[in-house]
Amino acid sequence: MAGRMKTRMQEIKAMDAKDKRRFWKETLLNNSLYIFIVIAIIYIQIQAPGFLAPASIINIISLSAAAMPLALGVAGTIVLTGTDLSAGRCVGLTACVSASLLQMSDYANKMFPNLPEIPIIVVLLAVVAIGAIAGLVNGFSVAKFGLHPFIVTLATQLILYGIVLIYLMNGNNNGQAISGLDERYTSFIKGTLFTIGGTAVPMYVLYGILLTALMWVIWNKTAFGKNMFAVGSNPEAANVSGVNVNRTITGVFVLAGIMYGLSGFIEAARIGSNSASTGFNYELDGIAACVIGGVSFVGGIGKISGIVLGVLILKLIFTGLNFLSVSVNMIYIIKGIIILVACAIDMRKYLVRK
Amino acid sequence: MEKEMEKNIEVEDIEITEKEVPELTFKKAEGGLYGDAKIPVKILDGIIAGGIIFMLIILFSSVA
Repeated sequence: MAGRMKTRMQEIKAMDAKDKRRFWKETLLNNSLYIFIVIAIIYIQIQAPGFLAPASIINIISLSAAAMPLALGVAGTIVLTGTDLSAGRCVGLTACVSASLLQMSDYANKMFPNLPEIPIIVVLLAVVAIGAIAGLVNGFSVAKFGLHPFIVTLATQLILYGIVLIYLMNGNNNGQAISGLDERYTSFIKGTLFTIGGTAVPMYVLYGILLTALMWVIWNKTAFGKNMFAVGSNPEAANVSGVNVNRTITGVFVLAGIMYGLSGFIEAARIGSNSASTGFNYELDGIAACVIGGVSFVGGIGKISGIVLGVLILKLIFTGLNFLSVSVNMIYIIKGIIILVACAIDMRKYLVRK
Repeated sequence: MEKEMEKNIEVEDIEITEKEVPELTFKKAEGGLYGDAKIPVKILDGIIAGGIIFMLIILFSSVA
């Protein structure tokens, strides 16, 4: 590492003035988002010294862990040169289903008053199945009909939203937010894993880590993962190499759907009160995290470590902006600009390479 | 004798008929989600620089 850096420094020294200027310009532009984030973190810490306190860092890690499954799911679809706009609504649907099936038995406004106590694992499998079905619809439409994922997932997003709204009208609920969750469920998700300096680390941090590890294995150690990168990089070449392109695309979307199901299951207990707005715009955070983490829209490029870093950086910056009391409206604008800049950097790298 | 054998091997090694070579003429779908974007790099530089400056202004103006 040190030797490589030394060689690089020698190369830079050997450059003429014009090449040096170009090199620094390229370095600055390609890393501009990271530079901004470092400046922002330092500035926020100076203005609000509690920002990097242990309690705040645990909060940032917890928020990142909750957002991780969704980002990992979306990342696979981006590797395939696609995207998934239905992710947030899928999380919303699975969160509402989880919450409605795991309410306290004596809760006054229980959605299904006659529903017996259901084991947590059954609900977990149910929401995973819902997510997988949504993913299957997306994947099948993209793979079999050759439709662009943008259009397919946009349609699925609306369909899932409609299903959430209809679902919330069921039983005694009448469109209200679902709350009063069963103690078993909330402690399974939000229970204390361990405490650091008096601040509890919730259980879902562990689930986030486990899911990240699982995705790392799938992406890097399985034939399916290799096929995914092959298809994302060049579907025709993958096809002549014997990769079943259709099955791989469908599999990636189904896997993404499963991740959204798990994300919804965690999210429902984490936020406690679930309505039709649960999961709104979550896909944008996921896509932003992926692009910041180096998952390229060009396809076939991406790393799990990058996605983890992307999610952490995003949560860090938005928690910091909340510390500075920046208005929510402004945070939306910043979120949009971050995606735009990250895409511009990604596209720039692609065009320069080309 | 040895030289002759080497010659034979060489001849055998390079004897590939046209049928045996698969036709790999496919091309990577350019750009992925960016499609065939023909945006000049300078404009991208402008977007990057402008976006970063705008975010820094928001950040620094957030604390009175």
